[in-house]
Amino acid sequence: MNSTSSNSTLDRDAVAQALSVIVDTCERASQGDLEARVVGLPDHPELVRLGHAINHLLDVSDAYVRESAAAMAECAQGRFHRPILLRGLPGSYRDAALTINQAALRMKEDTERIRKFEIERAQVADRVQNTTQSVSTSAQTLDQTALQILGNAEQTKTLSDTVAASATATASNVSAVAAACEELTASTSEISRQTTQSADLTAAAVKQSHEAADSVRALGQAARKIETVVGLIHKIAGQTKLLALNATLEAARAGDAGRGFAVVANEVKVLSQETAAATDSISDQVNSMRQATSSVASAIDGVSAAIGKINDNAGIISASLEEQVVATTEIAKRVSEASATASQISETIVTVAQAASGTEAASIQLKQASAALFEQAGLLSQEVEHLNTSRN
Amino acid sequence: MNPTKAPLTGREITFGEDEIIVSKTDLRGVITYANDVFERVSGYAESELIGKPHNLIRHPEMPACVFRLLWDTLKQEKEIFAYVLNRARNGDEYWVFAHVTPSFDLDGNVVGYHSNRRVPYPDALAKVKTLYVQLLGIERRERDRAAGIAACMAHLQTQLTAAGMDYSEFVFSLSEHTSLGAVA
Ligand SMILES: Cc1cc2nc3c(=O)[nH]c(=O)nc-3n(C[C@H](O)[C@H](O)[C@H](O)COP(=O)(O)O)c2cc1C
Repeated sequence: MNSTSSNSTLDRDAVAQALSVIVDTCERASQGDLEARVVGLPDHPELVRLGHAINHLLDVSDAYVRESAAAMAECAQGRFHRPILLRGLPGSYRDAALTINQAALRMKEDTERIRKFEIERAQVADRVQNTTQSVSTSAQTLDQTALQILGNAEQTKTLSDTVAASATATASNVSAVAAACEELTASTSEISRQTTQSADLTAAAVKQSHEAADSVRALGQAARKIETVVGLIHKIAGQTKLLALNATLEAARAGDAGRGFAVVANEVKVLSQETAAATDSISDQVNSMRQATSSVASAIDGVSAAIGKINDNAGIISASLEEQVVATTEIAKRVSEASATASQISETIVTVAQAASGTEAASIQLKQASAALFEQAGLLSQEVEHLNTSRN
Repeated sequence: MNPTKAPLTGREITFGEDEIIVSKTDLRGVITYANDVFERVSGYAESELIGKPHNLIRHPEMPACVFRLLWDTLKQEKEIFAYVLNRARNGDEYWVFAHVTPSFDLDGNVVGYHSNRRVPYPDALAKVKTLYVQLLGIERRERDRAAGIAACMAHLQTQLTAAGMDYSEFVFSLSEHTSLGAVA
C-alpha cells in the first residue's frame, strides 16, 4: 500500500476516502464483480489489515469461482483431467470443492462407462448394419428370384394351358379316330361276313352247277341211249316197211282173201313210215337236244369256272379283309392307348397348371415378403444410422 | 526492465500450502493488483508492483516458450496452468504452480487477466525441472529468440503427441495431487 506516508494517524478525509474505496469494492463484489479489489489504501495499519482482509476474502471467493467454473467447464466438455485445486481454499470452500471433485469423478466414471458402452453399441450397430446390408442384398436377390419364379410359373401356366388344350384336342381327335376305327372294324367285319356268305353262296352255286353239269351229262348219255333206241326203232321200222311191202305183195297175190290183209299191210307200211319219220324227228330232236346239252354243259362249265374264280377272289378279299381287321384292331388298340395317354397328359397338365398357379401365388407372396424384408432392412439400416449419428 | 534488480542468489524460498499468490493484470500484462502474499514472497511493495509489467519477477531460467504458450492460451480466452520459477526482488527464487485465466466483465468481455499461484507439488516439480532444462537447452541452441521458442514448442508438441495428451491434461498428469480423486 502507500509506502510514502507511514503515519498511523490520518485525517478524516483520508479515512473517508479509504472507506469509500472499501465500500465500493464490497458493493462491486456483492454485485458479482469479483474483479474488484481494495487497492491504494493509505499506509495505516488498521486500514491495511482491513484492505487485506477484504482482498483475501475476494481472492478466495474469486479463486473458488474461477476454479469451480473452469473445472465444470472441462467436465461439460467431457474432459475429466481437471480438478478444483484444493490448495489455498479454506474451510467451506474446500469442502465444496471436494464435493464437486467427487461429483466430477463420478461423472468421469459414468462417462467412461458410457463411452465403453457407446463403443460396444457402435460395434453392435456396425454388425447389425452389416447384417442388415446382407439381408437387404439377400432380399433383393430373393425379389429377383421370386420375379423369375413368377415369370416361370406364368410361362408354365401358359404352356400347360396350351398343352391342356392340345391334349384335349388330341383326346377328342383320338376318340374320333377310335370311333372311326371301330366303325371300320365293324364294317370290315360286315364285309367279311358278307364275303364269307357270298363265298358260301358261290360254293353252293359251284356245287349246283356241278350237279347241273352232271345232270346235263346224264341227259347226254340218255340222249345217246335214246339215239340207239331210235336207231333200233328206225331199223325195225325199215324192216317193218319191207315186211309190209312184202305183205302187200303177198296180199295182192292173195287177191280178195288178201285184201284185208293188204289193208293191214298198208297200215303197217304207213305206221312204219310214220315211225321212221317219228324216229327221224326224235333223232333230230335228240340231236338238237345233245347240241343244247353240250352247250349247256360248256355254259355250266363256264359258269362254274367263273364262280370258281369269284370264289378265289372272294377268298383273297376275305383274307385281305381279315388282315385289315387285324390291322384295324391293332390301330384301334393303339389309338385307345394314345387316348388313355392323352387323357393322362390332360390330367397331369391340370395338376401342373394348378402347381404353376400355386407357384405363382407363392412367388407373389415371396416377392411381397422379400420387398417387405428389403423395406424392413432399409428401416433397420436407417434406425442403426440414426443410432450412430445420434451418438455423436 | 528494472536496472536495480538484485543479482540471483540461487536461494529458493517458498510460501504456505494454504496460501495463494494472487495478481491481476490488464490486457497487456501490466499488474493491476497483487495480494499481500505476492508482496511478502516477491519482496515488492504494492506501489512497486501496480503498473509494472509482470515480467518484473521473470526468472532467466524459465523457458520462453512457456510464456508463449501462456499468452497464446489466454488470447483464446482459456485458462492455463504452468509451473513457473519466479525471481524475488532480492534475487531469491520461488517455484509456483500458476493458474492464469482471463477476467471477464459482467458483459462477458475480457477485461484483464488473473493469476492464482500455489505451492507446487514436489512430484510434479521434479519432472518440470527436467523438462525445463531440456527446453532451455533447445532454446539456447537456436540462433534467436523466435527460433528458440519455435523449436521448444515443436519439442513440447512432440512430447504431448507421444503421450496422447493436450497441454492441460499433461500439466495435471504431472502430480498425483492434481487428479480428481485427490484430497490434498
Ligand atoms: C495474469 C498474469 C500473470 C503472470 N504471472 C507471471 C509470473 O508470475 N511470472 C512470470 O515470469 N511471468 C508472468 N506472467 C507473464 C509475463 O507477462 C511475461 O509474459 C513473462 O514474464 C515473460 O516475459 P518476457 O516476455 O519479457 O520474457 C504473467 C502474465 C499474466 C497475464
